[in-house]
Amino acid sequence: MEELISVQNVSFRYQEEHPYVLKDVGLSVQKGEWLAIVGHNGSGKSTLARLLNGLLLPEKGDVLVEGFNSRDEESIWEIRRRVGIVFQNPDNQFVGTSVQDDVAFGLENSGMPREKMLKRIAESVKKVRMEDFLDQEPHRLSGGQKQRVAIAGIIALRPSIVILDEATSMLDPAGRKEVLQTMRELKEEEGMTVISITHDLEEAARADRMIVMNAGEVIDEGVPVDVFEKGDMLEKIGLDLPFPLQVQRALREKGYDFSKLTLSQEELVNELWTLQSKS
Amino acid sequence: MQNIIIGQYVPGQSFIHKLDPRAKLLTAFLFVIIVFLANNWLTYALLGAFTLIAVFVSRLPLRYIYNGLKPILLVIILTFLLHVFLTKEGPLLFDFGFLEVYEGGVKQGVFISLRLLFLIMITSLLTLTTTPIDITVGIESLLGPMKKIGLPVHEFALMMSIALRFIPTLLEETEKIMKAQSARGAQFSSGPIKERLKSIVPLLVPLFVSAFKRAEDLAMAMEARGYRGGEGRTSIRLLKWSGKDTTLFIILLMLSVGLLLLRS
Repeated sequence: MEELISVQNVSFRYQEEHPYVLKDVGLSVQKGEWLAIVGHNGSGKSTLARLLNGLLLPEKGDVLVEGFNSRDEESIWEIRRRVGIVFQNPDNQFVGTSVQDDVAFGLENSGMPREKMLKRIAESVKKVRMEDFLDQEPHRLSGGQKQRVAIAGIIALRPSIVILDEATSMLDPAGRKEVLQTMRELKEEEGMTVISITHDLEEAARADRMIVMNAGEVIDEGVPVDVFEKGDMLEKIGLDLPFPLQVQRALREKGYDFSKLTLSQEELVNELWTLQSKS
Repeated sequence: MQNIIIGQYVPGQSFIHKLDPRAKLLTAFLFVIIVFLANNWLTYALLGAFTLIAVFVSRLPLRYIYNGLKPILLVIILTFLLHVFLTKEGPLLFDFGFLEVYEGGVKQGVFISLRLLFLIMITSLLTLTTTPIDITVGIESLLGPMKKIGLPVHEFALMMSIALRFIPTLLEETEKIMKAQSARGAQFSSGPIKERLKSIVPLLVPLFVSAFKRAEDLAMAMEARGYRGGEGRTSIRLLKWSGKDTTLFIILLMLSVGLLLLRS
């Protein structure tokens, strides 16, 4: 496994005298993984995202992206090219007056010649299945479509990592599904590394690995199934457990035995109807 | 809300629609200047012919042109009347006792009204056949050389395009806030003017707050995507000066020469 991002003992606060938003945070991101960072509002997870691509600089500690330190002024543009962020509000990150203009924005910034840009744009809108909307204006697109355009604008720059910073929290269920589905395909087909920052544990349940943050600190880390074993801890920091998990926890209290927690509804159904025959 | 059109642009495939925005901007600009060359019936006829042909070639429904003229119609009529009654030149035509109308006055009135009419028609033709974003790109390209003397041309063009992009978003938001305030008993469309003006305040405050929030978010998103000013930046929007544009320019040049020769 190749390490893409390494965060070393990072502390951060927005202003001096203010309390620290991140306290001595350390983590690493491996190539090709889907890492979920979960936490309640104010846990510092969005601040962390901004530190990962140099929008904010750590007060203490270092952030290294493929060996580039975000403290170096020279390497900041290298870092931003490698780490793309899809933000929360679909409207407030749509810069262009049409889909094509918006996807082109990052490429224009990098000074790419027009011919090459057109090729990259065609490629990336196809990957997010927005190729039929090239000339559409943003106010004619749904939230999910706008977020997919944002993803296209980022992957056009061929980054190594895409961060979804609460990117699905303002979408309806259909939009949420289409955005996550698009990202999963990109991960499978292109080997994209994804960091999804979310308070939606259902989304986190499908990650390869998850990190739990609370009050600026990393309080747990591991594969989702193991982390969800500590359901009490998650509930204590204000996160809602996914429904299948709640069912299993309630049944456990009643004395039914689940050797291993299952995270998807389908698996739970299987588990339930075989439960009786096992005991 | 879905069919909102920003600016006045009417989509089409005419010769004028397909012209380079720079050619259209330059034409409109030059036209504004050469309109002042005309000073007799022949030169005004020439300008009129140019304007009418341009309107015809654009294949725009005439009501769009008329809509552009409507707000200015009163000004035109007023100018005409002022000239008719106040210019005392040439032989006397009518005498109402307290008012005298001279031939020179009528002539001057017609000329000035026509001048205004032509100006409005040509400039509305520009905005009717060119998308706002194309106009912005055209202006950016035309003013490009001014960057050397420190004029922030790129920043200006970017501001314009972002403003254009956010007009529908903010309109939608206004509508949403209006509904929210109406649900709380606010009245926007009835009552005395003073009350209605007052009711705008609770509309504008949340709108401004959210606009600032959006601006902040957008700046962050732009920076995250590597925006660092106009330097070294390329553009996806391509302006292409073609034969059509040169043709238009030659026509305009001929028009100017014609005006210079025929004016008295």
